[in-house]
Amino acid sequence: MSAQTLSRAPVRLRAALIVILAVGLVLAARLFYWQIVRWDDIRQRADKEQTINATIPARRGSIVTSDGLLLAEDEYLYTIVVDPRQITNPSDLARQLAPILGQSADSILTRFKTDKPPIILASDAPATTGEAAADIENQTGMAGLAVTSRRVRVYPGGAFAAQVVGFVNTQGAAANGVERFEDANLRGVDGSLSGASDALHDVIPFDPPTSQPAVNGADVVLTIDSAMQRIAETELANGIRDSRAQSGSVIVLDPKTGAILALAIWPTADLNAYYDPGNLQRLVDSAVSSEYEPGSVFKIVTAAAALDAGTVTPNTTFDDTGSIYVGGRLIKNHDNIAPGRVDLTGVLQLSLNVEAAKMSIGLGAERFYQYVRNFGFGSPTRVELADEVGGDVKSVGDGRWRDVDLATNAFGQGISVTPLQMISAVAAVANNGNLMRPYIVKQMRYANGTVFNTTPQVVRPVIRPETAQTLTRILSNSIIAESTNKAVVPGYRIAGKTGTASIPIPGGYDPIGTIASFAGYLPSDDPQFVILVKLDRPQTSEWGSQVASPVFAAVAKQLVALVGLPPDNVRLASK
Amino acid sequence: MASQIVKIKNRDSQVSVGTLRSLLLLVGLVALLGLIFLGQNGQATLTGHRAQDLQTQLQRIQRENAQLEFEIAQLSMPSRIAARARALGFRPATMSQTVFVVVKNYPTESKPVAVSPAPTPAPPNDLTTLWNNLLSFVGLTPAGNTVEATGP
Repeated sequence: MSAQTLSRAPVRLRAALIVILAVGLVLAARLFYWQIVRWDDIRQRADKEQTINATIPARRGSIVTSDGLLLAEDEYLYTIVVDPRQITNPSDLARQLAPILGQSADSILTRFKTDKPPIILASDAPATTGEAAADIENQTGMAGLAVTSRRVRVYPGGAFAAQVVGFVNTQGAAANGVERFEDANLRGVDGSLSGASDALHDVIPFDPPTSQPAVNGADVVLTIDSAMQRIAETELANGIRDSRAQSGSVIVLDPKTGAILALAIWPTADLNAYYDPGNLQRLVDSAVSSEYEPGSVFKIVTAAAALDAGTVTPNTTFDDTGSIYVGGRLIKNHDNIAPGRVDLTGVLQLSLNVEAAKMSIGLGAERFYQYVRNFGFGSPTRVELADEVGGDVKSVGDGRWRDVDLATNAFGQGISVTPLQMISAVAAVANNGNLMRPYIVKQMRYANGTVFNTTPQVVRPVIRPETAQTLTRILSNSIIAESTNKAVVPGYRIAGKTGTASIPIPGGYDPIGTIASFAGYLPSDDPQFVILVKLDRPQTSEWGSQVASPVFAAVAKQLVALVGLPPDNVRLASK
Repeated sequence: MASQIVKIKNRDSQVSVGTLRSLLLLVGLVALLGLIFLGQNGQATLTGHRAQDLQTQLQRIQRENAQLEFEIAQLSMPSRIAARARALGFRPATMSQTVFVVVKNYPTESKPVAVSPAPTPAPPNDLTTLWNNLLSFVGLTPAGNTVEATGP
């Protein structure tokens, strides 16, 4: 249409043309605005609606004992909720749900009518129940029925080896034990999924989504043997009951490898109920994260150092008058005994503080503390358990050390250790003087099939093999010499030492409570087990020889029966 | 004039038939391509659905398996087994009840098997062997050393 034709057109036609042009311009402008100016924003909003970006959670690795008993794993728990207002056929739904929930259809139907919606028919239901309910939801498209699941960490053993295992809380944070120490390995790496989704935000299979698969966490195999762990836990509980002690621990170690075969702590708690009041405290692994003054058990270290340095021999005689002044402080034997002339066996049998002090003084502070540190005291053992502490060993010139410390440290006072450090040091004597790194993770099984086995590791030789054998003989003789020793295991020569330690409190030592302990190993000529028993604040007797030794014997008797270790006469006769 | 019109009409109908054929071919081709495309997409969707179903099934089995593992572990706990054994009348054996049989020189650990070293080839000690070795090195096996394969 030319300009001439337009000028000749009726006014109405011209007006209509102008209106159409104006509308067209407005539309073009809006189109420009939405398509060009707001392109990024609109595109993002559309992507958000049409695509799904989901996280594929990695399965957390399981924790099992060396004999394959499952101690921790991931599980899904389901919640089944119903809103009767949206259900078209309530009796049909009730009939379908009844066998799954283990309830009668009538009772479910009654709840539909009487309970206020939404009705929670089951919470924390297991997978078989939840998945069956989900089937009903999916197959029938049943409106008003909702099945949701959540992943939880479960502990089939409850309180079994609780402090070793540790736990994962509802936020997914690991606490204590192996759960925390190996968290990075157990956790795995979450994957991701991205693709086109429908209105319900489900993936449209038409367009295969791009995904980064999750890498599941590694499974951890512990060195803990379930039968040995049960023996340790049972006998510790018996010991606590018999002595009316406040708390305690029992550790069983393989001296040749450093593998922890059992680690029992009392009091304990169910890992599935970690959040209950008081349970968090009970689940702390005091074998690695709490320090104590070991008392006379530490004389094993002092005697080892003195024998190794050659400042005493098995034949050295000591003239014990019952007391000695060191740094202006009076050191006395327990019960103020003064036995006179004794040899090293007598010193250990009678647990003479005065002679232990003389041994450390004879060594000199530098050499004595060098041996103490070589035995692993004052630094963490690097066991695979969370929150391990290194103990407290004073050093000459550190501002805290006094002359008297050299004497008191010799019989385990004024020095703080962890139970695991103590048993590792005793195990070093049992293992021909080689200090092994204690370990509790035997194997890691990664999702890609890689298996990593822990290799026993010698930290360092701390005393000569001859010294270790001599000391073992002396420790063994000291137990035999005491006919009523309650640590004795009939048929087996054992080596060990009792301990009764005062408990430090602000401003001094607790005048009432003690820590009673016994550390020993058997059979003494070829040690298979090192056992440490520690009882805190026993009430029936304060002495380790009275309350801890019987627990050692009870554990040892069952261990040798469990592994079929013949008595010494049978074993040596067969060689 | 009338004959001209008829001519034109005939020409038009000739063009229309050709074009129609081409158009039909094009439409058929497009339809075929569409069918292939739809078929493939349908197949992809079906496979996608199947994969999704299998994924869901796998997930379900894994979850149910975890539940079963949990239940097995609970039933395998030493405390439960001990209680069950006690209920059945079992008691832990004491050392006095245990009889050990002494077997002299019983091999408790398997001894490593002595492996005799593989016989090493004797060094060539004469000119003939050297010559034969040289021949075999260059790919010409000496006739004297050739072993002919025999039939069954």
